[in-house]
Amino acid sequence: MTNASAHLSLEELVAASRPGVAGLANPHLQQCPDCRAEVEQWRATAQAVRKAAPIVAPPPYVLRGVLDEIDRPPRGAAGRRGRRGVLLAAAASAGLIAAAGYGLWPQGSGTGPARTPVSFSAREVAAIGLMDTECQSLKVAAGTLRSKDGSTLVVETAEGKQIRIDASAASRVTRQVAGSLSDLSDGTRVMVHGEGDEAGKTITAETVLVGGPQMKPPKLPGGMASGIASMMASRGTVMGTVGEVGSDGFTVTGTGGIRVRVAATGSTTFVKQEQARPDQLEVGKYTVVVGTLNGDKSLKATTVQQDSLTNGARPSLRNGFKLPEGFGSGGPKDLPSLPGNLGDRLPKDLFSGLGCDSEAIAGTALNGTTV
Amino acid sequence: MEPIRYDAGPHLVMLGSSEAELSERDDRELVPAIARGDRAALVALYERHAGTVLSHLVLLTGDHGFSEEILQDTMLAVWRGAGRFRGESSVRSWIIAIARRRCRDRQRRRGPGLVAQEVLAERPATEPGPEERALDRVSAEAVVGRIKDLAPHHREVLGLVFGAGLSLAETAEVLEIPVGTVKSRLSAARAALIRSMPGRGRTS
Repeated sequence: MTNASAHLSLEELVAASRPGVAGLANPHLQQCPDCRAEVEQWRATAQAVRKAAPIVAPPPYVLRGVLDEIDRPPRGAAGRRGRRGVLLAAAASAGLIAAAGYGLWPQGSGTGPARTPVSFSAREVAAIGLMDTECQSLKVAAGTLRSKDGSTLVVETAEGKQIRIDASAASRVTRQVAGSLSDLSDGTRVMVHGEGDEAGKTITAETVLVGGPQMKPPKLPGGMASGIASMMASRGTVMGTVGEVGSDGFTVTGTGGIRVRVAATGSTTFVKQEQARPDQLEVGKYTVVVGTLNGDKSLKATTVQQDSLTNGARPSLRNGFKLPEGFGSGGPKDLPSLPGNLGDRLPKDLFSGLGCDSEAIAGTALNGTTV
Repeated sequence: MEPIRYDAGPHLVMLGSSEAELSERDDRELVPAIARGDRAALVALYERHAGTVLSHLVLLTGDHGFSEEILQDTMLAVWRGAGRFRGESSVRSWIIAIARRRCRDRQRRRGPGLVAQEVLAERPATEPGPEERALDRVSAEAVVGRIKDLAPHHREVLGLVFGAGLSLAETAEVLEIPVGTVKSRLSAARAALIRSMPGRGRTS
């Protein structure tokens, strides 16, 4: 309680000396020269303190040091992040846009025990050349389109197995075509790969995959999502919804609500997934099919997606790229063939979290994976 | 004489109450997000407070490199300890309190230095006479040099109140002393500053 005649308390004197506080904010100051003088003294003190220790942004290596440390979970923390998170991070770090392009093939015995499909064991599925998903009924075929006859397609896997596809009832058939910045508008889903900054706030885009509903971020353990997303953004990959499109780029709102500004340059490549008829697909191109298995071991497709632009090409790794040391469950050493020679096997939990969403499964198989 | 600058950067401007409340609300949303492992929230919190914390540490230790290490330690402690933040203090004073403990731990390990400030008896502030009320009439540069020569606990209280912009109550929490002691220490610090001015009382 301040009445106009009482001198100001130290608390009030200090408050009145704060920068930005109007000189005679307190009514008592207007009539009391002593208190005014006191305030001036505190003001001079405050000013000198701020001059003695000016606030400047810390050098960038301080934040980098913090982030390097937190991006490397301590040993034993593996369970928190889970294998998929590790894979995602590794794949994103490596910039494996088409990560899944080289080897969705289950390793004979490695297909593991049994989420047994209705009429085929996991081993049988593997023998056919298909891959299991989390969804008991949905299988994935990925490889080169060998032939097409109306809506009957033949896809040949990396192991040389030929799988007959019935695409007559496929709800979605797409192929990739070149796009541009003008394909983006508010709400467009994209996956961006490029060069990220430390904080994971801006990415200079090398490739922008302009997607549709098939680009569904996988579910991650609660609370981990935006952390992993931010780390991946700092490594150059973000997936999410477009906003604020300008002539020089756009903003992506990604998993866990992270916002990343994406700079598009003259050398940014835009890749668009375009609706197509089965007969428009190109023989010889990398093609992913998700569907249900028929009794004759053919696949009844719900989704067919073709990578007609890069044909599942292995993306080159950036020079000097390194995985965060010790990342994940025992570190990348635990992940055979990631990322340098990813080639052979990706564990089937590539699709974990995607449930029975065949679009998301196909998108992951076609474009690789990210958060 | 240096012109008074109240605009040296966003961190230096004490926010009006509504803005201060807004930023505190943001802070209070960030900390639980950090506790859930949200890296982006940590970056946001860092961008908001790291400059202030570093500046305070430099004022305390006079050593930039050392202060940067402590800042790094502090942010890692924030990352790991965000789940333990109970919201009893402001987020900024919570971070600064962590920084202060880290700083002391490191200094102890380094050997005797700026330790045991708390054992110094709080001498009552000598009321400056009119001739001593001179700080506003000498150049800020001159005062700056004197601040660096003050006793560490005086520098610290000045830094918390005027550098970091904490309230006296927040300062008391950080220093783990009663508010009354903050007040007397603050007055003593200013008195010491005035005493240290050469030819005090003269206009510049």
